[in-house]
Amino acid sequence: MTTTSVPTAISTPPTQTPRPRQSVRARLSKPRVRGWLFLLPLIVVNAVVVIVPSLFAVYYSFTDWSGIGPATFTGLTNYRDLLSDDEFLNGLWHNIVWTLFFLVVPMAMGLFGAYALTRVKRFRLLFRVLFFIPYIVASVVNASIWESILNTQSGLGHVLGVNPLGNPDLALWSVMSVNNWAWWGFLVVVFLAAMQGVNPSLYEAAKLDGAGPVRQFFSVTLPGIRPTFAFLGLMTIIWSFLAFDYVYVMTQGGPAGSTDLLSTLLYRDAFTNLSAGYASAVGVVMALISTVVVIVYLVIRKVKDWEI
Amino acid sequence: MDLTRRHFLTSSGAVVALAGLAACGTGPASDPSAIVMWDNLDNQDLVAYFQKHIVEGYPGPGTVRFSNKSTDTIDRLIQTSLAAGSGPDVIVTPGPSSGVTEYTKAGYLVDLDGYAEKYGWNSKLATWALDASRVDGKLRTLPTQYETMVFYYNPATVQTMGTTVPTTQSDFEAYCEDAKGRGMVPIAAGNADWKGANEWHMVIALNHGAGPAAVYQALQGDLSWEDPVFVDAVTRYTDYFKKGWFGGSVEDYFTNKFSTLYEQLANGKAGAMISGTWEFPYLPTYFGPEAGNDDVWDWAAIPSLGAGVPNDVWDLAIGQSAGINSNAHNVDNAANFLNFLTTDKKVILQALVELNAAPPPIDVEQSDFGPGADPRVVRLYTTLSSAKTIGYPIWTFFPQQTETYIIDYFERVITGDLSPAEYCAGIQKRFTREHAAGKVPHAPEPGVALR
Amino acid sequence: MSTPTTASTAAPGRANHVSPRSRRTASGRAGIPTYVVLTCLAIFSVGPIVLFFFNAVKTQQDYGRSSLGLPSTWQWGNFSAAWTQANMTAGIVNSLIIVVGTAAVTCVVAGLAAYALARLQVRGGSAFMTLLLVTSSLPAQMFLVPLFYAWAKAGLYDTRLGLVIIYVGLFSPFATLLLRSFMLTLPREFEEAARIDGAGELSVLFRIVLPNSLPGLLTVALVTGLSAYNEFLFAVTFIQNPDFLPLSTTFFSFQQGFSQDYTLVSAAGFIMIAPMLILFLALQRRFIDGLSSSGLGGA
Repeated sequence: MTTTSVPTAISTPPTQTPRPRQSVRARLSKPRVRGWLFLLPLIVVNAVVVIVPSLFAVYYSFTDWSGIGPATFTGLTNYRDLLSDDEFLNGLWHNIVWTLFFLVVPMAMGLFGAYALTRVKRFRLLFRVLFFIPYIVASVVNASIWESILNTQSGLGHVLGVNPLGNPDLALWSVMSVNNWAWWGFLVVVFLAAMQGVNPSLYEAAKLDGAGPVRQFFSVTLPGIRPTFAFLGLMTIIWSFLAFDYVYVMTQGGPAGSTDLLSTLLYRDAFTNLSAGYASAVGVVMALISTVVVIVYLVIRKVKDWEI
Repeated sequence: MDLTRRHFLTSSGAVVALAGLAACGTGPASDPSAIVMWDNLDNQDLVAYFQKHIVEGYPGPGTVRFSNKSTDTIDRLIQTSLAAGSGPDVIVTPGPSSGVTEYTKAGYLVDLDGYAEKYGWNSKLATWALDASRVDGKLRTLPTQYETMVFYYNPATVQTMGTTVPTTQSDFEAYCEDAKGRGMVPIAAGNADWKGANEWHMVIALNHGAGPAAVYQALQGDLSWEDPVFVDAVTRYTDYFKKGWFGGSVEDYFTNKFSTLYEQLANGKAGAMISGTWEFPYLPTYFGPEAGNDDVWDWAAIPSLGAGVPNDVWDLAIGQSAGINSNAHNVDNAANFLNFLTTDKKVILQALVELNAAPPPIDVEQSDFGPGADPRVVRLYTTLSSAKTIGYPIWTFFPQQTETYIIDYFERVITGDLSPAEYCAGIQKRFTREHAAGKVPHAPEPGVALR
Repeated sequence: MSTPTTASTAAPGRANHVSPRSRRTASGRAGIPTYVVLTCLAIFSVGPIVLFFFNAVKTQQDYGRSSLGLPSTWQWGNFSAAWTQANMTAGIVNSLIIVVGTAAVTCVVAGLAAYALARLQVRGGSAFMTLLLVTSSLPAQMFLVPLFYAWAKAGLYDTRLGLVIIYVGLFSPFATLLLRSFMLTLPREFEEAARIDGAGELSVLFRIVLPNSLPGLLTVALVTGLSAYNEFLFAVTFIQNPDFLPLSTTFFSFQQGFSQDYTLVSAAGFIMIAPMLILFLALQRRFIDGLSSSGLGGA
């Protein structure tokens, strides 16, 4: 996956003690109100760039806007069409596959890599850097790198006798694998930092109980990094529905729609097929899915009383 | 450094940076009398030529400012900039139907009928092309490039195969079988660089497999796209794909880039290539002295691929159209430049001769070409000028949503995920809708004089 | 002295909270097999990039023979050819302007907001953060077209300033959350002291909190800068003028147009990633440590 920015933990601010009533002027200079003034630049820039245009997009999702010229209100037509649209369901399915893949493969690799690094004494920093390098390379370049490696004239495709990007059965796995290659190093770094926060005496205790490295991982490490792990799981789900770059550059959703994701479908509808209204509806659905996921996460967090 | 100094430096640094950005942001002052044009030439030579002979060669009034964009993004860039009230003065589209109806509906395109009278376009440009460029009876764009589909081959390869260029369906199938048997790629094909290549193949399947008469009838709404003549033609053609005759295999078709196709044609790995005449400017890089080999390319008419279909059907297409932005600073100047672009025979033919750049549909005769003109080019345009049987390419004569469907779902047919019958049903569904809404471009009747 | 690795989001009473000194955690030595696997993974990660470099210095014939092997002759000339053909001088200047601009403004915006969320008791702060999280999960393609329309109306279309504002809007939410987590780890004594002395909040922020948050700010700057440098969808939509295009866009269109000469494309791509690689390798400890100390580790 690519991320536009780095995730962080969220924790709740401390509870506030009740204060006595005061005059308006005194209230305005209270940190609480002033706090919102400090937040103003962030609110303004976020509203202008993201929120307001998104609200417009929601409006357009109820019209037949082509992206050019006027938009006529059509109510829920777009949403109705979506539900019976093969391409939409196809894309949705691929996003689900993508999510499952990314919840398993890079997470496992990240956990493994990080855990292995906690147990080695030498070269830890070197490995960490090497694993992280693909993450800092632009997705456009990474996609180009792998297209060349996989090609059927002089690359792996030729050597193995398959066409990873041309075979509809292999294409999605190939693209996901390339994205995974660029992504897992980031997880290693994050998990490593989390693991280094785990109390070593817990490991001592486990060792005394006769646990080998694998048992130690499952009984000490994993619970110890649970908040980080859960948070990254959340972000993985959200980002999986936004995945776009690698598919767009490598296969544009082909061959035969086998790598089509909701985001590439949206893009195609908005810009090639001149159906911006319909594309906005797809976008709204994507946003709704993300929102639901976040809400579920927050509810679970509340219920299970986690801290992250 | 104490805290206050550090703070001052950082905040003033930020201010300076912002000021610098703001200054950078506006850029050089734009010349209000400049005629802005964006195009998507794929080739550095073409860009340099365009800049020198057309941009700088334009006598005026007004000066031209030209910016070249990538083919993948130019339509979107034009679209979004038009939506925002700006955009280039001369608007190009990949054909007279793509987007033109929408642009017209939104009021972005100037009505060109007045200018047509002023500059005499009706007699200088082919009638069929101008007709196809009308929206609701009004001329909105001019055709700037016209083209057709041809059968490219390497004479040396054909000779090695011990045969001749096919002209009938059975010839064609035998040719492909033979090539496949020799381990060659019978017809070089691939859509990795351009998904739209899918519709090129459907043009052949429909016009040469079912025949232009049937296509014309269907375009008028008098024949269903689900009629057996079409379903059979599509089945036959997609079966060719499934047999691995196009690109070597269906999978390879998805990942073959254009450069691969040209190489295969040159080095004899491919038996032929079916594509449009827009390829002419790209071929010299792969054939002959420029490429360091002595390979030669030539072209022939597409063979008949169905019963009763003639073997000299010319799929005339408008490869690119240009209109004028109603928000242009100076519409008259822009129209004058458009006239120069489309009717200045000297500049057009020079571009054609030097770089194989496709011309607009103006009348050309053998005598118009000086010595040193590529005989293949001369042969093409003189043949086209007198073409009798024409085919109907999808990007010129089909409505927008139908065209999109044809491109998007073609791949599923060749992978076997969609049957040709279902595919044709999908085409019919969208076509009837657009036909009822009056969105089908005007097509010349088969066999009618084209000028 | 590197910052504490784990004292981050200060959730009190956490049993696993550990002192800064013990970086080595899991007891037990890893044997040779672990090193072997790690080395394989390292080759897996870096190998393709090394191959990319090799491809950048191959001749076309070499590349045609194998995209996976070593070059037979080293065509260093490819780099200068790619530089000119892909118009890299302008690209690099533009990228620099955009990256520095975005990072600087984001630091300011995020600094203010993070301070508010970390120190000033803001009502609804947690709800606000949830909102930030949700808005940053909106698909960019969705609001791209309405945003473009607004930008053109405002005269910000086809300007680097316009693109910087967009990036600030896109990247500030996470930058804020990141910086906030960092600020929560700072001891409050100095701020309390300054407040008792009568300093206003703005003064406290700029004289005490921000200077102490420099590691966090640096991380924010690096991460935001990286995102801005690599971003291409918005760059390619909002900037037309070839004089203003950043590197990500020039590489993308170069790749589209020059697909037959992959050696040149590789050279161009390598030129693009080289500055970031160098910057990263020089500052990697800062980068990674900052990232991990921001609150993702432990807590």
